[in-house]
Amino acid sequence: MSYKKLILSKFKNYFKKPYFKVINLIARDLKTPEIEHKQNHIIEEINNIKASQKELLELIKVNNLLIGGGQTLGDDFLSSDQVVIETNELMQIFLNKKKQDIFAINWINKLNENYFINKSTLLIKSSQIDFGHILKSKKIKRFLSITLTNSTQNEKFLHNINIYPTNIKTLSIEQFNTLIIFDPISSSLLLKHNLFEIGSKIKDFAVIRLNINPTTIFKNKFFKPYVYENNQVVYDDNFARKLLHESGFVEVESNYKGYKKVSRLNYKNGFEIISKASNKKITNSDFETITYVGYKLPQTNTK
Amino acid sequence: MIYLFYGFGSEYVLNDLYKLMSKKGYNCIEIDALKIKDSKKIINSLKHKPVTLITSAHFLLDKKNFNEYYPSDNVFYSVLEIISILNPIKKIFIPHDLTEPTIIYEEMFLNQFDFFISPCEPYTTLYSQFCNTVELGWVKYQKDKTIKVKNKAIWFISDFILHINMGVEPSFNLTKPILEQNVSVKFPLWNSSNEFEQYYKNLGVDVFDARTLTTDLINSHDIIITNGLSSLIAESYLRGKIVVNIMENSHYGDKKDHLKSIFPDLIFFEKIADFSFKKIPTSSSRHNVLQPFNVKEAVNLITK
Repeated sequence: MSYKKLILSKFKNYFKKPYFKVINLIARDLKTPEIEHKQNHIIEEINNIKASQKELLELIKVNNLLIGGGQTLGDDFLSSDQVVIETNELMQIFLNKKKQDIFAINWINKLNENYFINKSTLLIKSSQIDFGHILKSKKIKRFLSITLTNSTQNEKFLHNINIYPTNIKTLSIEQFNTLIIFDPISSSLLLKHNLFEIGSKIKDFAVIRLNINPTTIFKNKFFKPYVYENNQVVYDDNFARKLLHESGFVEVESNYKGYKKVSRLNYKNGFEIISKASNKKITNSDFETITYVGYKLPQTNTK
Repeated sequence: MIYLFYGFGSEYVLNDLYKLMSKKGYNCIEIDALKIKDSKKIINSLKHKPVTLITSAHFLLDKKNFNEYYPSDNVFYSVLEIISILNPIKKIFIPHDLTEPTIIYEEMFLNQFDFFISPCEPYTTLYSQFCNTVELGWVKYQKDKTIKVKNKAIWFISDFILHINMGVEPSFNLTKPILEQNVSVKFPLWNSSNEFEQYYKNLGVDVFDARTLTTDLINSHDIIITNGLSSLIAESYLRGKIVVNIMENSHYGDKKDHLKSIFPDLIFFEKIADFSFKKIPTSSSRHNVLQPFNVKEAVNLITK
């Protein structure tokens, strides 16, 4: 041990007791333990508040779902089974955002530029992503997105409205050339409500994706409404057409693996198939997501 | 500019407007698709020309749709097809039906028009969410004229196709319980109207010629009897008349509640045999709220 260290050790031993005595006196005078206790208490309370906030958010989500269900139940044409399906679709719309984003970006990027050039477009989406810059790059004239959220409070921004899906009926929106709905579950939910009359605000056409049983594309007019398997609504092609026509589109066109099919709105029977692909045997019974284009004006035999 | 007036048979109500505009020197073409054998040729000849379309027809009524109700050999386009083909500079819709200016699916397509010429409220406000609406009065109502009539009540028979299908004698037997209570009758102007008029007249019924203006007949009677979803319900009601609606042998679709909601004083009789003047008020508390068609403003709107 060096001389310096020896001196320091002796010094510490000598001053240790009076040092702590003085420090304790000062601490008692400053109420440090009490402050520490209070600090700990505050930290604990903050943690409690955070936990309560999280719990509250979950409750709000559940509450919104219940409101949605309530609104759905308010529609007396829906059976309890349909309400279950609709509530499930609402949950999928609220929860599966991430999965959709990459797909949506790619899908919109691939869409024909003619859909956008000098057109005003209304985009309905459940993703929080802003697609404005993609659409601007396609020379779009005007753009509004409606984002489906689980909040029942509408939030309006310059190019976006956040809204609970079934509240769309309360929106007053202007005319647009085109409508795009890329998420098939959002399309399914909205089409079952005839798009809440948004079709009446579309001047040219709508591009809408839906989950379809592809074997039904080659059948004639008869259809089953839809099947519900593994939390998924899957439509017969002709039923999807019925919903699209009833939502305000006179002609509906789809192109499945090169097989084009066109139907037209009809006063008496709802719609008729005016151009059908020749029969094709499809063995795969899994659903596929198919893009439909609904036109406001007849396209066939008029050009 | 070419002014194209387009419609179908008794639902084409723009002839007066067409005649007036032609007289004023405007370049007008009139197409009643049921009178012209192949109106598609005329429409196709207008391609790439400046056209203003004025129509009173149901928008989706193409050949296929029309033939499902009334088979016809004529060849024609629907209004939406014409819009698609000609892309008119201006598109104007003047409804031919006051009770139901648009039928199923049509509201969703009103945004294809620049103007909906509204006959009156509630349509002016109701349709303003879909396109521009301008209230110019009722196109079939031009001026008040009273004609000499025999009875205080008249039955405007609608859903005439049902009568045509059942035949003239069963039709008479069906309507007899009302007509024998001193009620006059008028049939719609249709191919078979003459046959029905003659048969009813021969059996002592007071029958008005199908070409008589309904506005004059409404003006001249106190009680208007209707059936089904006739435009005359609204026309008579809004002109302050006592209006009766016979439900038997009538088509309403899902519109009966709509009818009750917009015309709360409308008196319904479920069966023809139920009809009796004793069950009807002797006077109406409503006044005439329907305005004659403002032709001058209509021409301004079409041509400006």
